[in-house]
Amino acid sequence: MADITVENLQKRFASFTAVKNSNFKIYDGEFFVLLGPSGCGKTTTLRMIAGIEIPSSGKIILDQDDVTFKRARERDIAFVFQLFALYPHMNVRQNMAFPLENEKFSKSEVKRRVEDIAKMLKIDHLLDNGVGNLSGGDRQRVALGRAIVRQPKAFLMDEPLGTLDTEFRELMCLELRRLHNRLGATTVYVTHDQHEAMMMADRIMVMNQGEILQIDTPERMYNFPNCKFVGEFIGTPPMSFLRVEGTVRVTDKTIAIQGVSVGIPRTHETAPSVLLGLRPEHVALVSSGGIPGAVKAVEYLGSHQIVTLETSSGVVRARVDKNLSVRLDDAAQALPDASRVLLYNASTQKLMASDYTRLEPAKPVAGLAVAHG
Amino acid sequence: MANASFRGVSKSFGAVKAVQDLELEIADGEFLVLLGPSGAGKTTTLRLMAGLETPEAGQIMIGGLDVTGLHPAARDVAFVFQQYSLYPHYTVFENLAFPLRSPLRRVSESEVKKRVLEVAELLRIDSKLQNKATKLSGGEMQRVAIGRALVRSPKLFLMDEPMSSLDAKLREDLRAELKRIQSKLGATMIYVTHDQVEATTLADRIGILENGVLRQASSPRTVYDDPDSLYVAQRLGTPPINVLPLEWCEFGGVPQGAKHLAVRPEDVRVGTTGTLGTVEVVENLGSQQQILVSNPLSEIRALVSVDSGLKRGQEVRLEIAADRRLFFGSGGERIRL
Repeated sequence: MADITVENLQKRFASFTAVKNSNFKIYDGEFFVLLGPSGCGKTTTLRMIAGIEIPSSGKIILDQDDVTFKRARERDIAFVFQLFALYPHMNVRQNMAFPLENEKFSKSEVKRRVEDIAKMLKIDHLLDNGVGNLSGGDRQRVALGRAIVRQPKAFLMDEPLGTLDTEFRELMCLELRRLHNRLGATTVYVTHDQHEAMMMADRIMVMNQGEILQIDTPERMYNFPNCKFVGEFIGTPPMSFLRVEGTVRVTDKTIAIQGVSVGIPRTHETAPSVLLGLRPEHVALVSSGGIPGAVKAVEYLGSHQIVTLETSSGVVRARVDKNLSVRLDDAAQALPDASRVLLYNASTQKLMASDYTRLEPAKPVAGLAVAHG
Repeated sequence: MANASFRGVSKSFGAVKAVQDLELEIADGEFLVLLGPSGAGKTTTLRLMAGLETPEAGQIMIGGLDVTGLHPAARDVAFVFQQYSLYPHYTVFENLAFPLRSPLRRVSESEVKKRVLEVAELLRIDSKLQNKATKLSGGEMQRVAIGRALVRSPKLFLMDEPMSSLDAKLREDLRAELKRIQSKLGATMIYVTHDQVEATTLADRIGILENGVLRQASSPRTVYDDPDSLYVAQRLGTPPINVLPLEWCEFGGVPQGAKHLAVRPEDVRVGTTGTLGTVEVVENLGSQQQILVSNPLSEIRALVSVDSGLKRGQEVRLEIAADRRLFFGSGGERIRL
């Protein structure tokens, strides 16, 4: 198993810089997710770690070993593209054994490894079946098994669940995370789906336009997005941002929005132009004392509803009880939870420090196993 | 706008019964969503209403008229397909104006202009009217496609997964917009999707199809809280509903004929009494945590608060309030208490 260290990594394609001066470290045993919209540089980063793409500059270190210019096959990592690619003319056992055939393993060793992994994935009863008539889930398990059986130092996965429908993707997320808990192998996983990232990651790295915006645990990423982009990218619905009136100064404990005074955790920064960042579960709908607006959407989601209010300071979404009766175009007021709100500097779009954001210091990443229980 | 109905409609393709004896009334101004996995018969149902397929049996009514034998063009319905089909060499304006300029319609040029501008504003594409269709983003193209359906105020809108090719954020925006426009126009809409979030957020009623059979047509709340069958219960909810053996009801209260207990993850509570299990996975969903708990009987998912402090490997007791238990028989039919 392995640490992966990335230093000053850059990748240019002609005049386009796909990955800009990246520095990060992935720890042994970590489930690390590269997340961002298409074109953000996440796949290019992964491909450089895999050795499929050569960096323009910078270093990639696998454990102590500088692998920057080593070929993919010399890196002892398994790359999983799309979990569905199986050899159709081979049965399950042959598919799983295939990566071991070219290495010097005894027949009995191959048999033992394949059967161990098959048992772990609960496909041991299918070993002698053809792959043609397996269910989607079992096919995916076989493909996973084939990647695991070599016991590489690290797994790299590029949107492996991208082609699946929602229900099944959810199920596979759970299985992948469970498998990771058992194997403890360093995993680097690329996706554009924030929900997948939140569900599985020990840490998430959000990228946009070739730049790393934030590297954090899912909890911190969700609770303390360090810029507006991350706040909007993580969470469905995204974080809402309302324009604050006037300058916010160090030690302020209230701000004004449309003349309504809103409590905030004591700020540590001053900025002339500020946005209030709100997660939907930290907004209550009230009949007085809140920020006035009109209901523009009511979205019922089974366990709860999302109500969208249009105010003259911006759009704000509230997560409310499933049985609350709200109608389109109703007047309503949004009351932010004073202890949980965040402030963003409107010109830099960066998170402003406050008593709340300083509450939990960014913890060092040692002892990652703890992050997931 | 108009009401519409299927009266005993059936359609097969060879041995496959795509739609079986469908009885369904859609009220004037109603937003009906057809939900189901691929192959359930959603698209065929929609195409039957449009006149793109001919039924073997039954009647199709629009606005009180039997349109079963009528040509698609004569039904006055607007169809929006999954893949936006715009005229690439036309501008956005020309694409939107196209349905109005049909010789059948005889709409004056000033009227065309007025209608196109109205619709473009509604869909927030008024700044793009002079752009070529090919110069638009995916979301803009699909809005133009929807706009082309809206300009001519048909009796009925039929939409076949119109958002499936868009990315998640865009889909969210367009979803809210579509609902707003539909309620503003009072449009009658039949909308096909396999995305349950679209179904619960858009629909007045959801019609759930399984192998060509309509299993239930009710409000999103009724489908979610009071499903008629296990199949229907499993179509809504992320994470999905838990299906458990009856041993979970250790204190009794199981109705006669019940074979399965089902319970939504948000209705499972970590408590001091209840069934014992081990936390296997803790996943973060941002505003909540999802935990997977296993014991020799089964695995169960529960939604808990983000500050639950639960850890992998921890033993917990799970409680399910008696009024949140749903029972189903051996055929998946609901057994009510």
